[in-house]
Amino acid sequence: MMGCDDARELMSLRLDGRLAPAEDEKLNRHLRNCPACAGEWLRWQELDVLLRTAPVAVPPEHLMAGVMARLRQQRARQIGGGLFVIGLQACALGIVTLGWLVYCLRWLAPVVSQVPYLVPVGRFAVEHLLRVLGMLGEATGVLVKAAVASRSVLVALAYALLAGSLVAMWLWVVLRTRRVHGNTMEA
Amino acid sequence: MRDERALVQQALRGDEKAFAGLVAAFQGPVYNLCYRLLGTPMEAEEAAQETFLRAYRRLHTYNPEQKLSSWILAIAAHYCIDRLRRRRLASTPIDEAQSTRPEGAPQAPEESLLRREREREIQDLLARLPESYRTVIVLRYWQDLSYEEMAEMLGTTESAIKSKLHRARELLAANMKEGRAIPTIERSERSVAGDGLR
Repeated sequence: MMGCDDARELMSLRLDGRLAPAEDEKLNRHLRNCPACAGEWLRWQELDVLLRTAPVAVPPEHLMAGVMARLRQQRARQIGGGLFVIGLQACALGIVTLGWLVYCLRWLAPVVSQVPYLVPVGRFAVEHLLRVLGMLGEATGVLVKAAVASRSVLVALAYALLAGSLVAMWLWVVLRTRRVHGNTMEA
Repeated sequence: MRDERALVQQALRGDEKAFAGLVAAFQGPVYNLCYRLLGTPMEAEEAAQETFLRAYRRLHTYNPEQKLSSWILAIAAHYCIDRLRRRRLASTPIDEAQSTRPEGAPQAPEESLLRREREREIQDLLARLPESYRTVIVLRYWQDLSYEEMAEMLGTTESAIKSKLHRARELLAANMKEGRAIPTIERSERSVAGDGLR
C-alpha cells in the first residue's frame, strides 16, 4: 500500500508526463482510497492549468537597443582602460623629459638674455621664467648629485619610484573595477 | 541551429550585427525567465540586458555541442538567482497595465482585469517560493525544459530536479489552499495530465 508522500511524488511526475503505466495505476488506486490526496490532486491540477495558461511576458521594444548600447559602452571602457595605461606611461616619460629640460635650461638663460630682437618686456618675462626654471633645475641637480653620491639615497629614491608606480597601478585597477561593477549593479 | 552557430562565429569575430541577431532571437525567453524570477518588469529588463552582456563576454567559452538557448538561459537563471539571494527579494506585485504585455489578441476590459488578477496571483505564488524552487518551476512551465535539460543547466542531478519540482508544487498548492483566490478552472481543463479520478 502506497503512502501519501509517495503518492505526491508520483503526482508530480504525472503532471510532467513521466509516469510509467504501472506507477500510474498505483497512483489511481491510492487516489480512489485517500480523500486527502484526491483533494490535493485536484489542487495540483488547478495549479498546473494556472501555470500552463499563464501569459508569456513580452520584452519591451527598447531591450535590444539597451543591450547594444551597453555593449558599446563596455567596449569603449576597455579601450579607455588601455589608453589610460598608455597615458600614464606618456606622462611619466613627459615628466622625466621636462625635468631634464629644466636642468638644461640653466645653461640657456644667459644666451637668451643676449638676443637683441626680443621685445624688452617679453625678454624680461622670459629671463625671469628661465631663472625660475633654472633654480628648479639646480634644485633637481642637487638632489641628483646627492642621490648619486649617497647610495642609500639612490636606493630610497628607487623604492619611492617603485612604490609610486604600484600605487598608481592599484588606483587604476580599483577605479576600473568600480566603474564596471557600478554599471552592473545599476537597477 | 546552424544559423545560430554561424551568428556565434560571426559575433566572435566582432560582428555587432551578428550579436544583435542573437539578442533578437533569444530576448523573449530570457526576458520571460527574468520576469518570472525577479517579479518586476524593470528588474527583468536590467537582468536580461546583463545576461546578454555576460553572454557576449563568455561567448568564446560556448560549446557548440550544447543548445545555445540552454546556455544563455543558464546565464540568465544564475544571474537572477544571485540577484535574489543578494537582495532577498520578497514578492513585488507586477506593475499595472503598460510595462509587461502578455501575448495574445486585445481583450475586453473584464477579461483584461481577470487576466491581470491571475497574473498577480501567479507572481505572488512564485514570490513565496525559495529561489531554487522558483527557478525549476519557471524553467518547467515557461521554458518547457525537460528534467535532463534543467539538471544540465543548473549543474545538478535529475533526481534533485524531480525533488525540487515536487516540493515546489506542494508549496504552491499549500499557498493556494490558504485562500489566495484564483479563478474557477473549468472541469474540462483538469484532464491536462491524466485524471486518476472517476
